[in-house]
Amino acid sequence: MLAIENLVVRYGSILALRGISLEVNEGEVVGVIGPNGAGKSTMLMASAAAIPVAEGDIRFEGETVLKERPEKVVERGISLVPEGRHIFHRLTVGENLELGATTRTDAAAVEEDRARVFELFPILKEYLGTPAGKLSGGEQQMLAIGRALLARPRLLMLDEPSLGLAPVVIDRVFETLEQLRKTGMTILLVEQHAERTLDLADRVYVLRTGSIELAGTPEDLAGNPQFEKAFLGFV
Amino acid sequence: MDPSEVAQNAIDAAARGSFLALVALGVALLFGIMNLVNFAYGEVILAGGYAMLIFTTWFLDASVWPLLIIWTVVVAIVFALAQERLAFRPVRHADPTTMLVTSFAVSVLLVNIAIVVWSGLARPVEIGGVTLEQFTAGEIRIRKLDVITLGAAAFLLLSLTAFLKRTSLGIQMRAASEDFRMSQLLGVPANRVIATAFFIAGILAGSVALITVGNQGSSSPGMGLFPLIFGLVAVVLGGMTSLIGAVVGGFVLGGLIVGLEQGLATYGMERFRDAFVFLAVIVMLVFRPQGLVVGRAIRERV
Repeated sequence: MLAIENLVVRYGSILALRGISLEVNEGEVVGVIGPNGAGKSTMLMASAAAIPVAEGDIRFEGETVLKERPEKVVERGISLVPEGRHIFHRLTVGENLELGATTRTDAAAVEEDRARVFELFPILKEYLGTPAGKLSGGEQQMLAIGRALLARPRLLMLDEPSLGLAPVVIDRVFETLEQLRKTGMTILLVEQHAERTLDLADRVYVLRTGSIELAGTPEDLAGNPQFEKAFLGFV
Repeated sequence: MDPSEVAQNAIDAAARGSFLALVALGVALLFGIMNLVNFAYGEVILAGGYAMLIFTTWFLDASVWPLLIIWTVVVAIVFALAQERLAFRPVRHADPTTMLVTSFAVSVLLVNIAIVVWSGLARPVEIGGVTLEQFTAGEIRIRKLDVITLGAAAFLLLSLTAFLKRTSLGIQMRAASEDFRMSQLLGVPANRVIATAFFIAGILAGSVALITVGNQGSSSPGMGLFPLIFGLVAVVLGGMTSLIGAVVGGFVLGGLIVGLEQGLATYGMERFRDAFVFLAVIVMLVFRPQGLVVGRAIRERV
C-alpha cells in the first residue's frame, strides 16, 4: 500500500534520512521505533508530502506522492497524526473534528464517521462546544486521532501518540489502535515505546540515525540480542 | 473636564479607534496566516485612495457614492490579490526575511509608481460635503464621517466574525492562523486560505482608504504609511497572535491618541503626540511584553 524506496531527506547540510526503504501492506500495523533524532518524524512528514525529499520515492497504492500538494495526499487516503498532536487550541472540539473532514464532499458518510468517532471516544461528544485547548493531554490525543479518522484514511500514520501522556492514558491510546486494527485499518505507527509497539504491530522497523537498522516481526526482534540490548533493556 | 467634553473625547476616541482597528485587522490577518508583516499593505490603502481620485475625476462624481464605495473596495481587493499572486506566492517557502524584504520592495515600488503618475503632492479628491457635515447635541459635535467610520467598522467586524465562526472556510482560516502546517496536513489548501486572507485584507484596506480620503479630502503617495504604522503598533499592542487582540489594540491606541492630543494641547506640545504615543507603547510592552491579549501560546494541560 505504502512503499518508501531509498528515501533521502536533507535539512540543509544535515542528512535526516540516508536512503531508507520500508513497506506497509494493506491491513497491516507497522511500527517504527528508534531514539530521538533517528528520522522517524521526518519519514512520516515526507510521506504526507509536507517536506521536500532529496532522493528516492514514496508511492501510495502504486503512485508517487512526491510533488503532490499535502491536501491532495489527504484526499488520496493518507492521514497523519503528528507528534505533539497539534490540535487547534482556540477552536472548539467540534470545529477541530469538522476540519478533519476538510477534503470530504460526502456529507452523509461524514456524519456516519462522526458517529463512529464518538463511539470510539465518547468524551469528545460531551466537549463539542469546548475550546480544544481546555482538554487534557489524553483527550487532546483522542481528538487528534478522531480528527484524522474523519478524513476516512486508508492509511493512518501516527507520530508518537504516547508522548507526554500518563501510563493509563497510553493504555487507552493503544487500546484504541487495537480497535482500529480490528476494523482493518492500515496503520503506520512511530513510537519510542518499544514494548507496546511490539505488542501491537505485525512488523517492526528500527530506525537509527537516518538508517534502518533492523526489521522483522515482533517475534524475530524479541529474540534478537542486538535489539534487546538496544531497546528492551531500558524502556 | 465637564461631562460634554468627556463625551466628546469618547466619541473621538471611538472613531479613531475603530479606524485603527480596521487597519490592524488587515495586518493581523496576514500575519496570522503567513507570519508576514506586510509593509506593502499600506499601498493597498494607497491604491484605494487613487482609485477614488480616478473615479471622481474621470468617471462620475461622488454623488453616486454607493458606486464609489464598491469601486474603491474592488480596486483594493484586486491590488491585494495581485500582491499575493505576483509578489508573495513565489517567495512563500523562502525564509521570513525574504518575505519581509519583498514586502518593502513592493511597497516602495507602488509608492513610486504613484509619485510618477500623480506627483508627490496630495491630489484633492472631490467627495462632497460629507467631511464637513456634523450633528450637534448641546455642546457635543459629532462628525458625520465619524458616525460612518464607526458604523462601517462595526459592520465589517461583525461580518468578519460571522464569516470566521460560521462558515467552513472561516474555520479553515482560523485553523491555518493557529497552526498552518497542521491545517495543511488535514487537507486545507494553502493557496485558498492565503488568497482569502488577502481578499479580506483588501476589503478592509478599501474601507480604510474611503475613510482616510474622507478625512483628508485628498490622496497622496504617503497616505498608506500612517495607517500602516499605527495599525502595526495596534497589532503589537494587541499581542500579535489574535484578531481580537488587533481590534482591542486599535481601540486602545485610538483612546491613547485622543487622550494625548488633549493632554498635550494644554502645554502646547501636540506636535509631539506621536513620540508620546510610541513612548507609551514601549512602556506598556516593558511591563506586558506578550501584549494585551494572549493568543496562540496557550499552555497545554497534560
